[in-house]
Amino acid sequence: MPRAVRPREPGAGEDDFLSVVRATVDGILVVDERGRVRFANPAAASLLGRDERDLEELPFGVPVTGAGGFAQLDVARPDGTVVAVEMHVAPLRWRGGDAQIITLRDVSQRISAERRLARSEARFALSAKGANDGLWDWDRERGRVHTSARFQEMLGRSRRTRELTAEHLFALVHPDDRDGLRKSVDRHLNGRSSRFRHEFRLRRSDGSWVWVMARGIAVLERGAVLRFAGSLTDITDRKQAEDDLRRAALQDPLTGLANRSLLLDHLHTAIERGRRTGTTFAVLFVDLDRFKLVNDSLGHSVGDAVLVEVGRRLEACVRSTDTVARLGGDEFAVLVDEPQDFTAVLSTVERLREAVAAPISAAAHVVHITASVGVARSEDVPPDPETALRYADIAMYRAKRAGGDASEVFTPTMHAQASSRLRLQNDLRLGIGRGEVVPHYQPIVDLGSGRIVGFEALARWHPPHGPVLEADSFIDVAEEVGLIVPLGREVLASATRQLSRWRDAGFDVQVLINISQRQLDAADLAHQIGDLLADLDLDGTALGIEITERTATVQSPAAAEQIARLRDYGLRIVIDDFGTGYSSLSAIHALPLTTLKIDKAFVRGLESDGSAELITTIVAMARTLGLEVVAEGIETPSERDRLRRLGCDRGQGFLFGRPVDAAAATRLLEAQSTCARSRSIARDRP
Amino acid sequence: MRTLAVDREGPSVTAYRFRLYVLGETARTETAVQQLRALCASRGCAPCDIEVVDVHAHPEVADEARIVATPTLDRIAPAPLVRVIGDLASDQLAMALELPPPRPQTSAGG
Repeated sequence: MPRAVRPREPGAGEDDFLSVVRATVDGILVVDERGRVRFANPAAASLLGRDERDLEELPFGVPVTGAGGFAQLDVARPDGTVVAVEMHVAPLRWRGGDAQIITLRDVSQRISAERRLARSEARFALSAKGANDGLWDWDRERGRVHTSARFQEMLGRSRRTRELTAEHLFALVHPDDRDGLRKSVDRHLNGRSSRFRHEFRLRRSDGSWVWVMARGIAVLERGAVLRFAGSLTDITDRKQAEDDLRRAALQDPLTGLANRSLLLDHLHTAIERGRRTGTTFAVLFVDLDRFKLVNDSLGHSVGDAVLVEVGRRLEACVRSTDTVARLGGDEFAVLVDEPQDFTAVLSTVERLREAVAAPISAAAHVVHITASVGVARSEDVPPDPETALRYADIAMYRAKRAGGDASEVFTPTMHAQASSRLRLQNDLRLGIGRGEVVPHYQPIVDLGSGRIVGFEALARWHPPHGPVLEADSFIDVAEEVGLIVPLGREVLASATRQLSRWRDAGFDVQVLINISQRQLDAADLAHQIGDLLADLDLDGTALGIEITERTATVQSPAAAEQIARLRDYGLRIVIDDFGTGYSSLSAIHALPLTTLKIDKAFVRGLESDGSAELITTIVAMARTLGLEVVAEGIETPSERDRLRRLGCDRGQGFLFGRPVDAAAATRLLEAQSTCARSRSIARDRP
Repeated sequence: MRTLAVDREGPSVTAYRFRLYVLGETARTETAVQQLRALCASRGCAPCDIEVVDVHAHPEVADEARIVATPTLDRIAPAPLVRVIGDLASDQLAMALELPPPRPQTSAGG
């Protein structure tokens, strides 16, 4: 199993996870860099004599400690009582920042016991029952250690063998801890520390290890250390709690995978090792395709179960030395450490994608989901964990843009492109604010009469220094950074106002506006359109929205509701690019559609392949459903004539006009009405 | 070597002010104060002003400062407030208090 990773039940939350910490008898606090309390367990609250809620944000202070991370504190509780508290401090990463974990233990009884022990001539003339500690007394001259019953009990040994040799005792110490313990003992016995205090593991008689803390004081007699005595505390719970907290801070609570911090940590190690010894690694950025749809349509609990299962599958595809992390949402990352070669990395990537693509059963649903994977090789990234991850993300984004369910390997060119996209995003954000994005209008004509019956509004961006850009050159950037909603709102408002002006001028035209999935998901679209119609006193039937076939197919319940409301206002609901997406006829049938727009690919294919039959079929279907058919991308008169014969009502394309600005579109309408007037005048003549 | 402020209106020297919260004034308190004074001197943050508050004698002061346990040491000035708690003989103290790095050894001595 990969490092620091423990699979968990779906839905197991952090609260659940921290239950051990909460139940621990030791007081546990987590404080941030400024010494503010970020977490406190109930034991800490009762030790400090405060309410648990009062502790949050309390300015505890930045803890400073002596040797071994310990310090002695006095707590004057609000109720007037005073307790002596021993504080132990260890560093911790907590929610993305540096923090300290502080363990507090009431040592009032033990301190008085130790004081008495140090003074006492009589061996064990004290009771440490309250502290539940074991006691030991090391006779330096004889080299023997006398221990209390509780001491032996901690070791799981018979209470009768109370005395053992110092060598025997050291043999019970965990090999990794032995040197440290000896040093600590020597330091104290040589007078270099005023108190002896050390944490280490001891082997119990059943072979398991118990974490203990020994404290003691050397007793000087006749100028030499003849006795060294003290206590032994079982700190296994505290160590467990510290471990759990550490893990919680480095673990994704939902999946039990490593979190971003831990991944970056391991990446850092891999980078450092690579620098020293020339080893390589690869970072994989794994993003689920259209995961939002799972959450929106099946609910978050199914979504969570899918994420847990995906995490489990990713883990199963990698070696134990690799790290699988969940970065958040539906984003995962894998650190492939010291791969055999790059082919091995690529085959791991394929295994991952196949594993994700297998059907996932979650709460009575079977979910099919795919993943886009970006790969960054150590050779191609600078020695910085964040950047390495970002480069893998850039490559993933490439794979995603190509339609998803794919993988891409990062190349330096991608970085350059990503930077220029970033610039574009910034320019676009500013541009929308400055009104640089405006609609242009492409005529839609009645194929029978040739008259302009409407326009499709298309967003155009006029950057201050540079060419005018068509929607295709910036719309996906806008999608990506969440600008699509403000942008769409601008275009919608401006096109609707223009429509209103044309209607007021007596032109009987309609305007169709492209609406993206994100706009549909943003709950206020129908509201905004309703307001616009009311403000402008505009008939809803003059306005239409175009959604792509894919949007129509994958719509969420919220989006469907918006579409239904818009239809209630009288709007036309148009499916764009019909025939190109993954049409689910039932999904489309469920929508209150008015119009199908046949994709230009079919129009292009009229002369060469069998598109004509397809168009015939689409038209027949549209007739059955009572829908209007618009063909787009018409460039030649012969295409127009064939489409008309095949039963298409309307068309648009360069034959009738390219998208033009509002003024030019108005001129087209004026020319048409003048022309119609002169024709009718001509007809009126005898 | 003193830190001269460029700002004419401000004090000419960065003043360090500390408040030490203890429970009962004991020999340990006196040691802590002396150690802090020595630390400040070695870091060039003289003059430094250290006030000692016995939380037993002045619970209201401790309450207002939201003192949790003692010994707690507040660096009141310069801003922002820095609070440390624990073993004030610790070698972590200077860093926790965000004191300037030790001054190079000079014969002048201050």
